[in-house]
Amino acid sequence: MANKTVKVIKINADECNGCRACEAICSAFHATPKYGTTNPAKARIHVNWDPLRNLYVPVYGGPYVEAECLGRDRYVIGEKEYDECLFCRAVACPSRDLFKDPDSGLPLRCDMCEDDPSLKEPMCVQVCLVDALTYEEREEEMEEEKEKLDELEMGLETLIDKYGFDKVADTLARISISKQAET
Amino acid sequence: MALNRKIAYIDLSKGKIETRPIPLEVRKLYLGGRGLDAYLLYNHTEPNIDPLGPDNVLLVSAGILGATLASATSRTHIMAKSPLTGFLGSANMGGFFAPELRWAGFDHLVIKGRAERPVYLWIHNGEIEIRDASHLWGKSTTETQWAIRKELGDEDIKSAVIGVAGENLVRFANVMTGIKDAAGRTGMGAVMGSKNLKAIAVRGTMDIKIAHPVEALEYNKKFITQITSAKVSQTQGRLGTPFIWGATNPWGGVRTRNFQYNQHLYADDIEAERLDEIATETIGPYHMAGCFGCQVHCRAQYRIPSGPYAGVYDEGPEYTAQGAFGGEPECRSAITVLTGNHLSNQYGLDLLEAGSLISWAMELYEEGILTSKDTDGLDLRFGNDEALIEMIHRIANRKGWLGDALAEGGLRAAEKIGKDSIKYLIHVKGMSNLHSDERATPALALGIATASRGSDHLRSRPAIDLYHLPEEVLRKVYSNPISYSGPLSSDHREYLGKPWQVFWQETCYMGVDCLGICKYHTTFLGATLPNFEDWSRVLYLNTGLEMSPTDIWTVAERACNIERLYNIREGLTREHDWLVDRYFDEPCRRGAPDVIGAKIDREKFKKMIDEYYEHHGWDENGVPRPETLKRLGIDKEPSHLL
Ligand code: SF4
Ligand code: SF4
Ligand code: SF4
Repeated sequence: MANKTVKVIKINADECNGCRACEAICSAFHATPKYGTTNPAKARIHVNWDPLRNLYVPVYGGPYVEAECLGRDRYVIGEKEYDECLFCRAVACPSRDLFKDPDSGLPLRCDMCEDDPSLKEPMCVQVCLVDALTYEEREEEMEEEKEKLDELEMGLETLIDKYGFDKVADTLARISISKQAET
Repeated sequence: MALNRKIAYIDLSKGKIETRPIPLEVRKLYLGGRGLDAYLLYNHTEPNIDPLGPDNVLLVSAGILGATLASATSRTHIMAKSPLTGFLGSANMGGFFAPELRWAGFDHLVIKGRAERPVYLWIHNGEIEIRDASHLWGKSTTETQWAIRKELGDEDIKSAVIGVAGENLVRFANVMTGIKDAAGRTGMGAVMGSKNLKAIAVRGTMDIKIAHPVEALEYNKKFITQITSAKVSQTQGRLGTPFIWGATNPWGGVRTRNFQYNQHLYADDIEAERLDEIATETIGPYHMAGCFGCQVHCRAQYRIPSGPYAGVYDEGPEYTAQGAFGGEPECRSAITVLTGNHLSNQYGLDLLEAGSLISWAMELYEEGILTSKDTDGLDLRFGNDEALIEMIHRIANRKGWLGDALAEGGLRAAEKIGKDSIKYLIHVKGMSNLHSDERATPALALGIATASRGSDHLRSRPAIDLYHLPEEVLRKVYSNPISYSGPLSSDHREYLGKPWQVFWQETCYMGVDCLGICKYHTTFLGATLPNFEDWSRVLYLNTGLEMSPTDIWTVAERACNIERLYNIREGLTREHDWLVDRYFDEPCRRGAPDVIGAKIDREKFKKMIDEYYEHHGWDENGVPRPETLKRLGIDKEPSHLL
């Protein structure tokens, strides 16, 4: 058994007043040189707001996606329907500009302000004085990790299951020969 | 870098747009925001133009610290010749517009001419487009902003807009952003309306560069501690500005029944705590919001709990609304204050002016100067909540004879109403006074009498005069960065030494308006909050501009003098720096022992003004002396540097 530190930012949307200090500081933290610019469009946190309903929801840039999702859900909060995209953490989703660097188009994913030496608390948490964002570190016990298959391996295994080992091996050999011939 | 934001000249008559950099030498002279706007107004308008004609110029700007790592740099400044006073028009608002303007590449907009049809400006990453706004005309300030977001498909667009009052050229219409952030005073919304300009929409994704990033961040932490540890900021963050009422009304500093009394006796329902209760009941425990990057978060959110507007959302009310729709008209109900606030916000109306003028009309009605024929049957008595609300509708829509008359502002309305009506109007330079009663506080009275945009409490008010701080503390505040060894007094009834305090505060507020920082983050309500020394450091760390505290002081002085030159050019004389007779003739009838019986002494007040002019380097007529202008390098205006 091993221990793993899990870093958690707890978001209390009730406390958030939409001041956008977190956006500004996140963009500054990731600037070169560090803190050298502000530009919330480059932040890895985005505060969604609907002041008419006192709704301020900070959302972090999460997993990277290549394609937009097929079905869209709807959220109903305080009797108003919101598009799921509003609360979606997907980074670089082609359906929107969010969490994409406006200049380079590169994905903007929250990295918990990784730094050396590491920060006491992520920057957005530090500037959020109303505690809408709070930081926790948790030690979690982990099962001895099973050897994890990466994506390619997983793909190959599926093919082997389907076509049998020999056929897949043959095909691979053939492709590799023809590729070599090309170059 | 933070100094590379541009100035755009937008001619709405010709549809022509030109952008230019702002040279460093100009920055050093005026920094940005209100200071540079004042310079531009002086340089880009001819004397004696019609404020509602195409020759007036609308200036919209961010402060030089906007969107940097400094705190509370949310402020947008708007300037033009005022259609209300005919003198300097100037108004300032919080929210999120100015930082967005900077991320979109601009610091200053100079808007000239008049569009043929309603238009709005779409400003995005260095580009400016004039777009049709026919479909937005007639919409409320909130509807307009949301319609633009939808039309351009971006939730993060921020807009400065006018409502129906601005369209109808109500001479005290304001410009708004968000639900309640208002560039309220002097009728800047009417100027926008006269140009057929419904809105300015901005969105930017361009970096603002910080000159000395790590130090800027570190230094700002000190700032934040200073602000969040000040008790006044904490209270304000809990209750908003209505908390002030709790101190001023019991003391006797709130004018009531227009200007007959100085305390509202039936105010239980409009106290800060009650308003807070309503916000808690209708929104929830977390009902305070704020402006960009601000730790104070003084903006309450609420829904109107009952009445014809039950359930409607709005923000505020501020201290101003408690007086405008509570104290002055002697209305007792929170619903009235919340409704008045809401309607003013949605119509885009300066609620201070609206409440004051309606209360004035109430006194005229009770005096028989206005009759029910003039009011189209409306029983315009003090304390008639429905009449008050109805008058707000009439003013914004210029409905009925009286609604239309009041929409013209106090002085013009007084001409129309005739008789003795002018005697009852509580104004300076044609702009209504806040509901605060300054008869027991000569320093505050001097501030409103001499403020460059007409009667105003945010131009030079030494609010800390009311705290009776020990003289050493006052000396520490008021001898920096310019030494002052003259008298200072802890007694708010004193005349001696007060002109210096007013002069100092005026310079301080000009400084803060050039930087684009909120006034609640400087020596206004709290004596310990940052000013010149901190600004010098913050300015350097964020923008790289090296200016000593005295350099910033000089910039502010220069800008104050340009404003003075402008006003003099438009006909201002010493007589305009004066209060209405009731300040001198009618003593306070209610309040604490140190208030009751107080009135302003004419002779002493005259001396105060002399002294105040002297501090400014102005002659006995209030005209800047040639050597003053020379010292500040503005003896050859207009100099057309931009
Ligand atoms: S800093 Fe905190 S309060 Fe401000 S927008 Fe971010 S999460 Fe909300
Ligand atoms: S934790 Fe760091 S990287 Fe993530 S959103 Fe906050 S400031 Fe940005
Ligand atoms: S103190 Fe209030 S008005 Fe000033 S910036 Fe903060 S929230 Fe806005």
